[in-house]
Amino acid sequence: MGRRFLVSSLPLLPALALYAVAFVAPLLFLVYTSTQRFSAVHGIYGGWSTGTYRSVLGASDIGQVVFRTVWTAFVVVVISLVIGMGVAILFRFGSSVTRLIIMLGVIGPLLISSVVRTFGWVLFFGPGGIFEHVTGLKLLNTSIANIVGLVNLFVALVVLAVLPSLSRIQQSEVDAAATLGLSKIGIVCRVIVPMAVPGMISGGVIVFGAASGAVISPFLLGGSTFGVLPVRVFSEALELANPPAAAAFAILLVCVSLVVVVTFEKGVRSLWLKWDR
Amino acid sequence: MSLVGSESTALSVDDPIAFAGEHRPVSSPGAGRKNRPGRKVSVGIVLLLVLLFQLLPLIVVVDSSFTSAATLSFPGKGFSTKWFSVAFSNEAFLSGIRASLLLGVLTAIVATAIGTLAGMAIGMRSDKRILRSGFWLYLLTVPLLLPPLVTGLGSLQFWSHMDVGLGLMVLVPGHLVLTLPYSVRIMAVSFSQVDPNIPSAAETLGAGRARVGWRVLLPLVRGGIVASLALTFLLSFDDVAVSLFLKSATFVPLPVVIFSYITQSISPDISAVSAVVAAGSVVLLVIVQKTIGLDHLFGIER
Repeated sequence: MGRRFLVSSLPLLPALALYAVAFVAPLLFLVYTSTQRFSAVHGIYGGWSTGTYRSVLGASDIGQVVFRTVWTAFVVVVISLVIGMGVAILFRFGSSVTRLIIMLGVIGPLLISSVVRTFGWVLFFGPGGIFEHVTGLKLLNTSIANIVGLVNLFVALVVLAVLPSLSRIQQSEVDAAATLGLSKIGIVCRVIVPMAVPGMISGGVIVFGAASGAVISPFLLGGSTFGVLPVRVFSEALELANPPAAAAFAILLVCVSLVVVVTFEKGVRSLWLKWDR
Repeated sequence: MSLVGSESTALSVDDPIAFAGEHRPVSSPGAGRKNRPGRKVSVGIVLLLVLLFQLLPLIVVVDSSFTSAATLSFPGKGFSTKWFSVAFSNEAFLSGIRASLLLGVLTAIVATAIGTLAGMAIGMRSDKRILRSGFWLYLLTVPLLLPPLVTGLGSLQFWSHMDVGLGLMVLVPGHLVLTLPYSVRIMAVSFSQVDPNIPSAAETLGAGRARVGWRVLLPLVRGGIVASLALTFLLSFDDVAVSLFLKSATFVPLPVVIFSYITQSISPDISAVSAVVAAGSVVLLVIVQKTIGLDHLFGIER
């Protein structure tokens, strides 16, 4: 069995080797960098130091930055779940034309350059854009523009995540619910959504990760000094040339989204179990 | 009366007003107990709004690229294609397009090759060792758990420390990490759908391992390979977060060029090059839809 197992695992080697060199090593090095002494004059020089973490976590606005990162991603998740569920239900129970329209018009844009789409929102909300012209509101460089841009980028991820759960619902179950007198809204709320909860949880987690880690959208739509963790990572690394601080912000970002996702998943799952009973 | 359609004539039998020749829409409250048409319309409107929301930024970009004014606005003023010629005489955009195409093609080929091998190891044994193959599939999708930004920053610091020059040689591994999880997933699914009797039949008929893989298995997962190539190419072409860190002075992928132009000054030539990128992606999406189907690309069950 040993030899056979080795032979059958051999094709996994290139993938594992790639990850070791291009993923694991860089991540470990990121942790290493964040703990090195650094000065603007000497760059990174020998020795361990907790100075970077002390200055990153001790900054007066760090709480606000973390909160804004989490809050923005949370709002994006909620809006994306509502729109995405609606679209997914239409996709699951719609005609083949509806499916094609959704596939090309809603899911397809996932693969169209995100920087191009974000640029579209910059023009839409910016000075000279139709939005400011019609409403008189200046939304460029605000959280709202950022949230709109992020929902636009990631809503299709919810559709993809809930479709497997929805495809398990049989048409006969929906028909049975209708025969028993449930209205369409009742069917959606009491038959379809409960069965889609696992997909909604994974969709929510995926969108949360994507939204909390996005850098282009907050930078272009929220403003170059928009206070969220990814923008901090970006500016510390490429504008302020402070590798340890950039690394520390990146690690903080990973930790924060991990904590939120795990808490959220546990919380929602236990709520769902209670509700299910 | 001749203008009134057959539905109304059918209705008119027990409807004295319609019988008198007055046209009444079928979906009016008095028309019948069914409210289906009305509901269909409202569902259609919701879908239309979502579509508009999804496509709005692309519409804005395309519309503004045809402006004849010197500044960007939406809706654009006048009509002219001059900004396309301005964009395509800009060496930064041209070299960006070349860089992105080269990077995307290399990434797609290597990711699909590695992904096919890994997908075969995972998908072909799915019948007996579900637990273990589930573990491998999960392990190989771990990079998706981290924001690309973090992978990009780590790679920048790691390769700089190792004295490896930035540019194509580090961008390819960086993009492989981003795209390989998708390729592995697509290929694992493709291989798991292959009837295990087919390769063993080929072996019984005397084909060697390599021959079975190349002549029997590969043609069976052709759809998966095409899907993997298309998806990994598009994902690589889309990436900004990793490219932002790993670009060199002379090798800058197009999305990074566009990004830095937007942060400096906004002019219609950015719209023009963006519109071309969007059009290229749409063409590729339509080709994929026509050949293997987008549902295959996104892993949607038919």
